[in-house]
Amino acid sequence: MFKINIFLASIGLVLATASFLSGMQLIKKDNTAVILKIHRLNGYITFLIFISLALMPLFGKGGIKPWAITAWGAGFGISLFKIWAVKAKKGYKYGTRLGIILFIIWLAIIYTHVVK
Amino acid sequence: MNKRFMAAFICTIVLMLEAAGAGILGMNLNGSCYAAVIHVPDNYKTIQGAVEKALPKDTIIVKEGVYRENIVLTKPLTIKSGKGPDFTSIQAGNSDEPVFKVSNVKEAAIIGFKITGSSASGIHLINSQYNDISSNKISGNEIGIFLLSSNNNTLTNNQADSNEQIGIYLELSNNNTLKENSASQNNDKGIFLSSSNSNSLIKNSIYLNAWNGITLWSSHNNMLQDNYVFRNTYGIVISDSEGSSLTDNSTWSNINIIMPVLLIYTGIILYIIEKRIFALLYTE
Repeated sequence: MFKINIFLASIGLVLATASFLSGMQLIKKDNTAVILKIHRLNGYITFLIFISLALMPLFGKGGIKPWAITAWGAGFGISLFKIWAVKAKKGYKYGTRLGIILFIIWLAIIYTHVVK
Repeated sequence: MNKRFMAAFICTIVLMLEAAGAGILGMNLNGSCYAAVIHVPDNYKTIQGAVEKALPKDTIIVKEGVYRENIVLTKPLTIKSGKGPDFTSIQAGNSDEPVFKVSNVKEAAIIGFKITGSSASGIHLINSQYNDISSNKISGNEIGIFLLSSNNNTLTNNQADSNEQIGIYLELSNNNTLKENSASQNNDKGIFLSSSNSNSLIKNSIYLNAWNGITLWSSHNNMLQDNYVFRNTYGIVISDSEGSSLTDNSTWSNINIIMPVLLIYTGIILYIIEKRIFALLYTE
């Protein structure tokens, strides 16, 4: 049985992994121009998938629970903070830690969407 | 007095009682009673109180809140919550008894409740036929939904999750339809059919039960279609059962470790491929 949320969450973790690896290489300043493009592409698609997954319960019959809103909101906030940190040239200070947090968030999303 | 005059007279009396706010019975213009709608706690404080006073085919609508009682249903009534299971909860008053006990009833319905706290079962059907159990959340009971010698019932969109033993248990029950239910995270089995024949299990989601997802034991000619059986110790177990058909069921055990590892591995490969492609596209 095909379930769109599992499919999207799986694609999200794959892209988050690729984005995380490219982010690590950016910190090492290795082949920066190409890696930056890969990092941005994967990062923005992952962010769009994150928002799509967060919005899906709104159209489902089960409704949306307060803890879910809190969790999705926290993830959204961390993603925005990461984008801000990079744009404000604070990427090297916060980027790695935020990248690790986002990667862990995707593992949690996979667990939630495979279980539910 | 002729019949018409008699019917009109009775209707007038009933309408006067309705207008005074005292009555809950209705009557149509032919003089026959129609199914009344009873509100809990407006008309009766308890659901069982409403059940005892209701006539067959009446509908009992339960307002949001937490009700602590055991309900025994012996007539065909529709009992449903006004706002759904997230707002209307029934906890067992006596934990040794089922929260809903439906005994020798044809064409009753239990819709939209959260049902908890029974060391027997959340909903127990005994010798009952053509009943509709739908959109309930049944957790924290010994058994979620228990059908004993009950045939031709429909269980739809229930969540029989996190019970002490079994999510949905059918014993000596035939021709029932279980559709789009969830029976997950129970401490023993998800759905268990024992000596139950010709039942249809369609599009049920069965996850993370301690032992079997779906068990057919001495049960024949059952139909399992499009069920989603993930991460149970054993997926679908069939023992001493013949003639059952299994179509398009998804059974994938213990993917909690394997799946993220596979996805991360895929992500690493994707990154290597992307690097090659981008290097070709953006060569100076």
